[in-house]
Amino acid sequence: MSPHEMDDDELTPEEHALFAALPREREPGRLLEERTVRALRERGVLHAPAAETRRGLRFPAAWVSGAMAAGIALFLGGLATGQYMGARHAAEMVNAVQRQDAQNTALLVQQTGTAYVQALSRLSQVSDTTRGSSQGGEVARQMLRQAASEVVRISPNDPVASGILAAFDRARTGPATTPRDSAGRQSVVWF
Amino acid sequence: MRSQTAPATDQALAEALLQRGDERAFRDLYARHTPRLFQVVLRVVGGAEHDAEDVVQEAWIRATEKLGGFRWEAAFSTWLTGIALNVARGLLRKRGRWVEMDDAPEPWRPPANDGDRIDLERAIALLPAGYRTVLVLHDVEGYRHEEIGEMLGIAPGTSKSQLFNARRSLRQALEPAKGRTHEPA
Repeated sequence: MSPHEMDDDELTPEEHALFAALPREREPGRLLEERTVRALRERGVLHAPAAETRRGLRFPAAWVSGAMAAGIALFLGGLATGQYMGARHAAEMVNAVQRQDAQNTALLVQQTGTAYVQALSRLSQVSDTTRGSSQGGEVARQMLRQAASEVVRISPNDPVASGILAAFDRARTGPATTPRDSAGRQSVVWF
Repeated sequence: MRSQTAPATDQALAEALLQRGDERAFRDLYARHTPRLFQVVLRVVGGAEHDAEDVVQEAWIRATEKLGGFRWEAAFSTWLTGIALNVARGLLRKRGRWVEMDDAPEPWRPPANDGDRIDLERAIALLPAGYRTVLVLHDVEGYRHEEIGEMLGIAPGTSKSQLFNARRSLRQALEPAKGRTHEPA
């Protein structure tokens, strides 16, 4: 090999292109950085950044007091707002339950009333000469009277309910229309 | 328009590291230079990633120890690469894979001809360590023979002859159908 030969040795354009296409950088594993940092810390060359962070968290006393006061105020404000919102929410819930309860009660009255009427219808189908039929009629009237009393409590000026009650009063003060036993006691069978 | 802070120079980071043991400054330096350094070292050691990582770690440790003596007359990356090459050379020497460089060609047999072409990366890895190192530094990384001589502690002429032999061996490896013998010049 002569110096002249070495000087003439140049890469061809294709070889240049091949070398140019090679990657110039490559990331080693992430652990290598941590390994290296740890080794340098052990040698005392590096100081852990956590110590710097702690140093950086030193605040003036006035700032700390202000921050604490602001924090307490924020907490109390939040508490009051929460209580107000909670109370308002509770009231809305009670109203909703009451509204729901009224609807349910009306539905129950309707169902019970239907059952009452159906029972009376069945009673009319039973022989009208039996003692049971007589007792059923008495029970029906008592129920009707109590129902009218409740309606009057709900609507004192309701003419229908008031009329029913007046009719019951007139019947009681007039000739006995209800069956009584030999001792004069009213026989009512509750079921 | 938002103003952007210019990244700290290598020298500023190095000073922060020296004066305060600033870990963040070290991590910045590490992130800036390690990907390129790792790639160079990986090629020099023949593609063994574990060896390359060991070399890079040791190079950073030595660099931080010597940082106070660095005079910033050369680029930090060149100085760091020189340190890493010395570490790599020590590793290869310990394993009997490093022959001291002189103008004489290293004994080398091209890879067996299996009929298939091999790619450039593989061909570089198959070169003798001395050839490989000079070829990587010159033809891949673009260093001049004077810089390579300084980094490896050899004369520029030795670097030039190593490169000549390295290229010839590489061409043989890349074109197995052609010449199969490696004749010393």
